[in-house]
Amino acid sequence: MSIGHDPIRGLFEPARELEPRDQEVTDALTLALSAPQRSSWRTRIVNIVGIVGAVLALVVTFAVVEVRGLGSPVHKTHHDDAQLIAAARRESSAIDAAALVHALQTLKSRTRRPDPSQSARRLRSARGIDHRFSDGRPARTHTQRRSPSRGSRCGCERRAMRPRPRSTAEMRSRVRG
Amino acid sequence: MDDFRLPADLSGQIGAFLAGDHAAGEVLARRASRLALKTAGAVLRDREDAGDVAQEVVVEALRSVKGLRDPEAFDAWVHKITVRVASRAIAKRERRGSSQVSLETARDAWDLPQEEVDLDYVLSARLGLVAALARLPVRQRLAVTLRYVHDLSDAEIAGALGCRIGTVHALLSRARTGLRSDPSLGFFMPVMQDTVA
Repeated sequence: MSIGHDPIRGLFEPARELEPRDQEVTDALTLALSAPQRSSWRTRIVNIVGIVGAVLALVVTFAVVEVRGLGSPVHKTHHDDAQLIAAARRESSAIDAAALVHALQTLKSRTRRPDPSQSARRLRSARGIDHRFSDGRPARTHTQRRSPSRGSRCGCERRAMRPRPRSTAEMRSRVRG
Repeated sequence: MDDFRLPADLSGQIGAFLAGDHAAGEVLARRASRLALKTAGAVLRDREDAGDVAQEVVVEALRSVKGLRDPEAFDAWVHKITVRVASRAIAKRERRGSSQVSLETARDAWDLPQEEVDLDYVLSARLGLVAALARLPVRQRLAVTLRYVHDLSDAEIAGALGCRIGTVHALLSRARTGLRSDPSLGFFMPVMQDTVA
C-alpha cells in the first residue's frame, strides 16, 4: 500500500478498492425483492393490546385528574372553589343562610394572598439594614451595594457626601458673587 | 464495473426496476452495494461486517426506491442510508465491546491485494486506521470516510449526515487532527508530518 501524496487519503486506499462479491449483490437483491416478513399473529395481538392499553391508561389518568381534582394545587383550588360556589348556590336557593355563610367563609379562607411578612423588604427591615432615602424611597441594602473595590462601604455615605444638585438660578447667583 | 464512474441513466434504471426489470434491479443493487461497502469497509473492523451493512443498505434502498423523488440523487440517498445503518452497526459493536484484532485475523478477514506487497505493512496500516477511527466520534468517522473514500464535497457530506456545511468543516478538521495525533498511526507519522508540512 502506498501512502501517496495525502497520507490520510492513502490510509483510506484499501476501502476505496473494496468491491462487492457477486454473491453478496445477488443475496441482497433477492432479499430486497422478497416480500418483507410479516409479523406473527401473536406479535400483532401483543402490539394491539399494548396500544389500546396505553390509550386507556391515558384516558383514565386524565379523567381522574379532571374529576377528582388531583392536578396542580392551583387547579385543585379552582376546582374546589367552583364546587363551593355551586354548593353555595344550591344552599342559597334553599334559603339556608347558615350554609351559605359557611361556604363563603370557607371560600374566603381559601383565597391565597402573598404573605406580607415574607417580603424581602420586611426581612431586611427585621435585620435592621433597611435603607431609605430622605424622601422615603427604598434603597438597597449594604450587602447588595458592597463590592470588592469599595471595601466595606456601600455607597450610601458617598451619596450623602455628594454635593446637592443646584438649580440654574443658584448657579448663576454663585457666578455673579 | 466500468460504467460505475460514468453518470448512469439512473432514472431509466429506477423506472425499469419499478416496472419489474430484475436486470435494472441488479445494476442498482451493485451500485448501492459498492457505495455502502466502501464506507462501511473503512469504519468497520472487517470485511464481513462491512458486507452485512452493505446488504442491509441495498435491501433498504431498493425497497424504498419508490419514494425517491429525484432519481439523480440515488447516490446521495444511498450514502444517507449507509450513514444510518453504519452508525447502528458501530453502536451495536461498541455495546458488545470491541477487541483488538490480530494481524492473522485481519489477514483472513480482508480481501488482500493479489500483487506482491508488504502484507504486514498493509495490515498494520489497515488496523491502525481502524483503531484510530474507532477513537473518533461516530460522525467524525463517517465524515472523514465520505470525504476520503468517496471524494464527496462538503455539501454532499452535509446531506448524508443531515447537518450544516459548517458542521462538516468542523467534523473534518477535528477528525484530521485526531488521526494525525493518534498513536496507532505513529508508524506513518513521519511521512504524514512531512507531507502535511
